[in-house]
Amino acid sequence: MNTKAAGEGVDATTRERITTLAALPYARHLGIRVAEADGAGTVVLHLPFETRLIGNVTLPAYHGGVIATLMQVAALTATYVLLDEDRPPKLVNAARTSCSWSRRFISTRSP
Amino acid sequence: MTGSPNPVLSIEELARLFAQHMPHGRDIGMRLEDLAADGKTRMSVPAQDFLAGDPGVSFFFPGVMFSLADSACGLAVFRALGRFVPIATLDMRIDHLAPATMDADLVAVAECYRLTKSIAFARCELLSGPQRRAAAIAVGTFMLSSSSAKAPDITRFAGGQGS
Repeated sequence: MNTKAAGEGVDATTRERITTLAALPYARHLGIRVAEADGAGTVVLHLPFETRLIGNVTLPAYHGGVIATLMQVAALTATYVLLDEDRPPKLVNAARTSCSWSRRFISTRSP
Repeated sequence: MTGSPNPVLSIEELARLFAQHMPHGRDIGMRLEDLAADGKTRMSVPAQDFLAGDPGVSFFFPGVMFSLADSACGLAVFRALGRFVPIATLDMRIDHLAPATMDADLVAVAECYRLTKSIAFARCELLSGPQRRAAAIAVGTFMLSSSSAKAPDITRFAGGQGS
């Protein structure tokens, strides 16, 4: 898959959508940034490690909520650039079970 | 508390220490509330602008809810065990029922409803707004370490801000 630097070679609307979700307060607080996006549904986010992001001090590992948020922002951004609607998709929706979020740990994310 | 590796601290005190020293818990201001008669574990996170999931700063970001549910379930498992055992979240899913409004603290009410030798099952309700309306339901499973590990130095990532 050929991804490009965020916003490179895409129209202004798509470029704006690529950065919309990562600019939301909590995503910004964590330090999430868009590294690559091709405007066709592929997005790569980076989250630089900081000790304040640790949830499990025994391993140590990132907090599960931090990982979940990173995945949510990635999925929402990848979806948003493909939508016809001019507002971000919502993970929160009372009527649809597809709005639930499941996360399975397949490896330990040690910093 | 027989079998406790640390007879000085009660499990409630240990849980409180974890809530206070878990780096990301500190980062977003998670608190462990006092124990209630129902035995459930209550945690909360105050409404703060940087936890918002919308530009208008009206709702908590869903990831904040996930963080709080994960932590509350983990502490509920510690309390059900009655001692410290290293645990890791195996799986957690969350159903969002309504946006969590930022006009009040976000509250988590968690319980560990089943313990086996190696797995703990926990669930959590997230309540938001002045009316404490159910905003999300989370269900998780936790792996219990079989080693006889002692409680780790939970202050080592506190960055000298010990409370």
